[in-house]
Amino acid sequence: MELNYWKFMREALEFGNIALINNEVPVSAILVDNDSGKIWYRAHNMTNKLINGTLHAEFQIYNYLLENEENHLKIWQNSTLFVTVEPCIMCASMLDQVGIKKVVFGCPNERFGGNGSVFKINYKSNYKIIPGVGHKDAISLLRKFYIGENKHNPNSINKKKRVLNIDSFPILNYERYISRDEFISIWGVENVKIFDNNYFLEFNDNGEVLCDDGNKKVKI
Amino acid sequence: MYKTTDTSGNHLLNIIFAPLEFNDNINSYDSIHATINEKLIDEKFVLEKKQIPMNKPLDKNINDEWSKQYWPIVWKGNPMIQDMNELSKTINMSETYAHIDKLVQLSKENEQTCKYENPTIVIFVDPRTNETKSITYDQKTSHNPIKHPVVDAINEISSNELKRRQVEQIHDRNEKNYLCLNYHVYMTHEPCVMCAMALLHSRISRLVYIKPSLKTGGIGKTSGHHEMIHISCELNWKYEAFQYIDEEVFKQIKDIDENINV
Repeated sequence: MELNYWKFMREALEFGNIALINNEVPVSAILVDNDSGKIWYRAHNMTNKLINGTLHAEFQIYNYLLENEENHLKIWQNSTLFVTVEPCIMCASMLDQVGIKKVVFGCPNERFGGNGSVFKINYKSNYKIIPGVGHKDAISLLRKFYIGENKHNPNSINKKKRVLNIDSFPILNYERYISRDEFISIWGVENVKIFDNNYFLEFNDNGEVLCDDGNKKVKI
Repeated sequence: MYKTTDTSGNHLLNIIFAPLEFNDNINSYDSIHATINEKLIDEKFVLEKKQIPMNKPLDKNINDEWSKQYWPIVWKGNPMIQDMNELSKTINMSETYAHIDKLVQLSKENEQTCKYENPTIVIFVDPRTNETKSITYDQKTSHNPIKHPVVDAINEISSNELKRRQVEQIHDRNEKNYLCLNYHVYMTHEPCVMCAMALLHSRISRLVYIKPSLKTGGIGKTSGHHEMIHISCELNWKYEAFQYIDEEVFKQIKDIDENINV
C-alpha cells in the first residue's frame, strides 16, 4: 500500500499546533507503518521545556518507541517519517543509523538540513527522501512561532515589529533533495513540471496533487 | 600571467592555462595543445605540463623559493598561523593535559574491569569553573544503537539541570541558558556525524579527541564524508575541534571497529 503523503503530513502539521501552545519551536513528526498506515507515535520538539538541544521530534519518537515497543528497530525499518521541517543533520544521521525507509518533509531546513540542504545523510540505509509536502503550511507554522520572541535564545532580537506573512514563500529547489526520475516515480510524469519549475506541491482534500492550471487533479 | 625576457631579449608572456589531474592521460594534454594551435595560427607558443605544490606556502622562505621555482607569488602572511597564534593564547594546556590524562586513566580502568564493552569515553567540562559536568561511556547495543556517549552526556546534564532548577525553585523563564553553552568536550574517539551535530546544537565551544574515526567521524578533514560539522553550519554556531596528537596517549586508547558510529 502506498501511503497518502498529504493525509499524513496534515496530521503532522496539526500536531505542530500543540508545539506552538507548548511554546516549543513547531517542528512535529509522525511515524507511520508502511504496510498498515498505523501511526506509531506523534511528537514535537521539546528542546525548550527539557533544556536539551537534542530533543527534536525525531528523538522524541525514538525514545518513546525504545521504551514502549520491544521490536522498535523493526518498526523504524518498516516505516515512513512525516516531519514538517527537513530533519537536521543530527536527526538525519540518527534516522540513517536506525535504518528508516522513507522521510517525507514539508519545508527545507536551510541552516541544518541533513536531507540535502547542507548534507544528505542517508549513507547507510539509503532512505528515500520526499521534499515539499506541506511546504507552505510548515513555513507558516514556523512563522507563527518566530513572530513571538524566543526567550530561550541568548542572541534573541526584538521581533515586535514583525507581522505574520502568509503571502510569499521561498522557492523549494527539488533537485537538491530528489532526482527528477524519483519525483516522477512518486508524483507521476504528468506532474513533472512541478519539479522542473520548482512549483509548490499543492493538494486537494483527498491528497491528490493539484496541477498549477488549477482544475486538473491527479490521483497519487 | 606575467612577462619575462629570454636570453636573446625576446619578451615572453607566461600564462597558467589549465589544471591537469595528477594522473591525467596524455590525451587531454594533446587536445589542449591542438586547441591552442588552432586559435594562435601565427604565434609561437610552448605548452608545458608542470607539477606544482598542492598546498599554499606556509612561510615566507618557502614562498620565495617557490616563487623562483614555479611561479611568482606575493607573500601576504599566513592567516592560518595568525589564527592559531590567537587561539593558542586562549588554550589552557595544563587543563587540557589533565582531562586527557583522565581519559587515559579511565580507559585503562575500563579495560581491566571490562565494565563497558565499547572503549569510547566522553568528558564534558565547564571551563569557567573547570567543573566536570559528566563522564559517559559508550553503552550502545544492537537493541539501542543510538545510545552514544555524547547523547547520554547531554541527557544527563539536562536532567541534572532540570532537577537543580526544581530544587532551587528557579522558574526564571528569562534565564538565558543553552545547556552546554561554551563547554569543552574531551573524547577518546572522534564523534560520528549525529553526535558532532548534537554538540553543535548544545552550543559547546571546544572539542578535543584522541583517535580519529576515519570512516564514520563528523569532524576531521579526511573523516567520514568530509562533513566537518563543527564549521559547516556556522551561520548558527560553530566550535573549535582538535585532534590531540601524542603518540604515547594514542597508544593507550583502544581502537574500535571502523564501522562503528562513535
